[in-house]
Amino acid sequence: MAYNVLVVDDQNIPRRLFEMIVRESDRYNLLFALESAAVAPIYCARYRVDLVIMDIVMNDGSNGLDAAERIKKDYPSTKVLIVTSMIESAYLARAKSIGADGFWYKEAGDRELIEVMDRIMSGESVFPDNAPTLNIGMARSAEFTPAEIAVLREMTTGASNKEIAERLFIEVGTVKVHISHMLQKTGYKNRTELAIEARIRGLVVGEKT
Amino acid sequence: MISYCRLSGGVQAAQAIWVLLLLLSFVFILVRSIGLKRGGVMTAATVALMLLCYVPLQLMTAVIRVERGLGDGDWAYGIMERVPEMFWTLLFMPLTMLSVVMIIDLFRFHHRKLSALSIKAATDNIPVGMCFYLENGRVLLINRAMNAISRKASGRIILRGDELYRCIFSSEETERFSVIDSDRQRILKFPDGSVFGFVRRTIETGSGHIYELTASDISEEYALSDRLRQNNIMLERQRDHLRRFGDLVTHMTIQKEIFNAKVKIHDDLGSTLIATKRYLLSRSEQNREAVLELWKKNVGLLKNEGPMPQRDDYSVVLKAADDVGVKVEITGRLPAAQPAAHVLACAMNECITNTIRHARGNTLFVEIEQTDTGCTAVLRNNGDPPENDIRETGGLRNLRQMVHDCGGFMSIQSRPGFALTLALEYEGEMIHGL
Repeated sequence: MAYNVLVVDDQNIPRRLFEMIVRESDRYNLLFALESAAVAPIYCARYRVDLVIMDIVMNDGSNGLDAAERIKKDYPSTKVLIVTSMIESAYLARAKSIGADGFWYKEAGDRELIEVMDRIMSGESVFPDNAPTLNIGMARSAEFTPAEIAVLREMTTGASNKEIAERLFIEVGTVKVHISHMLQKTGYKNRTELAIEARIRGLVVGEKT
Repeated sequence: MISYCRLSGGVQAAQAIWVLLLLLSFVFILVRSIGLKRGGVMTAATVALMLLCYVPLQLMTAVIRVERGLGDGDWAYGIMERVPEMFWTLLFMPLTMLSVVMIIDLFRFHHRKLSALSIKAATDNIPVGMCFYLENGRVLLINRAMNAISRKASGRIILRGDELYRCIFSSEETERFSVIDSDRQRILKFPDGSVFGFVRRTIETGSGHIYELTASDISEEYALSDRLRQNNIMLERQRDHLRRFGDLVTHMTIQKEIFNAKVKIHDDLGSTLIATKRYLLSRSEQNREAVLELWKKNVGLLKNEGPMPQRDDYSVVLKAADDVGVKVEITGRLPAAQPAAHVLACAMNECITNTIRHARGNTLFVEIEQTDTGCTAVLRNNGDPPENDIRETGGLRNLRQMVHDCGGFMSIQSRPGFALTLALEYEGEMIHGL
């Protein structure tokens, strides 16, 4: 019997791509393709959904990770595969913490997606070891420590050092040290330049993950 | 051994003068010691030393008078005849050295001892302005720096402490200075750019109290803090730009995602065209099927591709309700204003889920009434009533937080049946009475 799949992506083309991939496989049955993560639990309540392919950032403001967390809580037997094109490391960490069954970067090919789906449905948890690395100035994103990434994420929201320290429960001096280290690594002249580049390249997303 | 009486007249006179000078030096030491209040022990010692010089001097002068036939001094002559001259030398040499030491010590003591003048001289060299005055305004001490500040603040040298205090602490903006801060300390800025911080302290004494008024030059610190203030303003502006930029970048990222997908489709189309060309050249049946599949896939992706239609908060929820077989009956007008529309749509979303999952119903009723400042909405379903009082977890808890954040009101009824009541506001006005 084919697995029922729910595709959740607000963008037309990626969503249709997922639809076609699912339809082309006889192991999967496309139940619905949704534009909003907010309504995904409704479908899980009504239908037997075996797998949800869930994007993270939606145009209507809903968050795929929030919806995934709710689905895993209310319908534990439903598998959830998180998909995204952003390499924000917090997404990967949160996906693991909420019990998602897999994580997939959209840049990978179609064949890989089917393989990931098969592995998930066979009971595996499929996560990349790390987020893809990219260049930030003279540094690679893998060179940043988790603490530095956390500070950088808050910086992109325009927060002051004091606000960053309060949000992360660290000292202001520690914030300054992290920023200084990142500027040294990347070669950027100031924190604004660093924050803009990190945001543009998708290394961090300022909003709540 | 030779006695004093056997010495020549000149030597006798020289010794007598020596003793006289020694006596005078002790007199000087005594007078200065009393003046400097050195203490009883020093004074008594000096008097004893004076006597030690005076008695021999009297004996010597008596001998000299006898030898010159100027008077009667046989009693002295008799004493001096028996005492060897060496004795006097051995006595007066150490006394002379002692006198020198005492004079040096006296001068050192004088330099170390504080006096009113020495205090005034010292405070005049301090850059901080100082003024000590009594309750009645009489100035006890005011240094040069404070005099200069007083002239700056009032145009003249103020002679009374209370008047100086009033001039500095009570005046508001004048042509002579502007007030920068009055909370923690009085800070005045003068036209020449100098900035001073004033503090008054009360010193309790046994008989009343003395006021201490100090003025510190904080011009440099003020300039630095002003620069810091300007930098912070600039930084705040930059942060504001960054915040708005963050919103733009999210949109950019989504567009980038779409672009990447389109690039992929473009590449796939290219491959499809090549495959088509190969098929047209070979006319292979196997290739035909493969090419058809490729075209189906690419056309499928491109079909309906265009600008996404704008969906409101309700259309997504209503479509979902339709997909899962839940009918939504709406009485009244759905609010269009935000954030009420978004909150109500979320509430409908939540209630549709609960209708299916818990109540096993298939209809959601939404009754909306407009009020002056917003609307109220009551959501019910046609399913089974709750067996127990509803506990707000997960979705309902999030909904309550959302309602609270936008200034609304929410209540949940479990008996006789489920009902979710919302009171939502438009434009931030709170609705009362619910």
